[in-house]
Amino acid sequence: MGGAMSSVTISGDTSGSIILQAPAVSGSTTLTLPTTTGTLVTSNAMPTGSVLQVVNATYAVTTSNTSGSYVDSGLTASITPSSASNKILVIVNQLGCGKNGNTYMLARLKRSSTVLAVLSGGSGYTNSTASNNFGGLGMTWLDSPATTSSTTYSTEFATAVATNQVYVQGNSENSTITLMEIKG
Amino acid sequence: MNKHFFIFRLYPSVVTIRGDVAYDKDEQEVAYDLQAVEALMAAEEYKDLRAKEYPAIADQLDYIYHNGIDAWKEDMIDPVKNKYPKG
Repeated sequence: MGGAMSSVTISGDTSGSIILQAPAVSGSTTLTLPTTTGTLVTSNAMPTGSVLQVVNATYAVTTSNTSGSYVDSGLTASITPSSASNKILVIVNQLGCGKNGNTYMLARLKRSSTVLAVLSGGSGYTNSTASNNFGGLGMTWLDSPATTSSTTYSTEFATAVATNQVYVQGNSENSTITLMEIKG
Repeated sequence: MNKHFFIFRLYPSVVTIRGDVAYDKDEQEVAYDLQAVEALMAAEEYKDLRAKEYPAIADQLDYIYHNGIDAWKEDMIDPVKNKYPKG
């Protein structure tokens, strides 16, 4: 349809109306409608399970700990959910993990100061003082933060036997954390 | 062994290291002598090199069983020790 209309109004079956409104832009844009029967999806009404946004972060600084107290691994990312009913799918790949001495690694996933899950309860154990570069720890965790405030996810780690070293991002390997907001 | 291992060795108050920065249990930064750390690394590099080159323990035990301790030392251990002498 040609012409100079900036909007088209479609009356509702019984009441109300829908207005198709052209934005104030230069040039012309073509919207091609689907050829099958269905309902158009808008940004405010995505189906449950839709991915609404993705945040990704990497960290490659070798970080070591000889304490039984947890310390941050340095891997962290933040996301601001658009609705408190949405969920956050957290995908963690903690790489470059290893130990020196007779110990093993403890690691866990946190939302702010809340521990969400154990990422490692005994990784790298050799029952000896041998060094062990055991590679990576991975986890997928579906969280329900119930907030629309900025929410930070991170990992932390500790050694099982104090004074014996455990480390992450050894050899500057890239750990990654991906946050996906899922429509609830 | 990585550099962090030797920093921990030389500086017992260090419990966490992020990159090149060391911290004590209170997250206070701990200064360290990088040259001393690197010197210790170089001096003890032979341990890693030897460990990587020794045959598997099962193979060593089998060799001892069939050939005796002296042959094991001479054929399996001494060549590696000689190849990587103490620093």
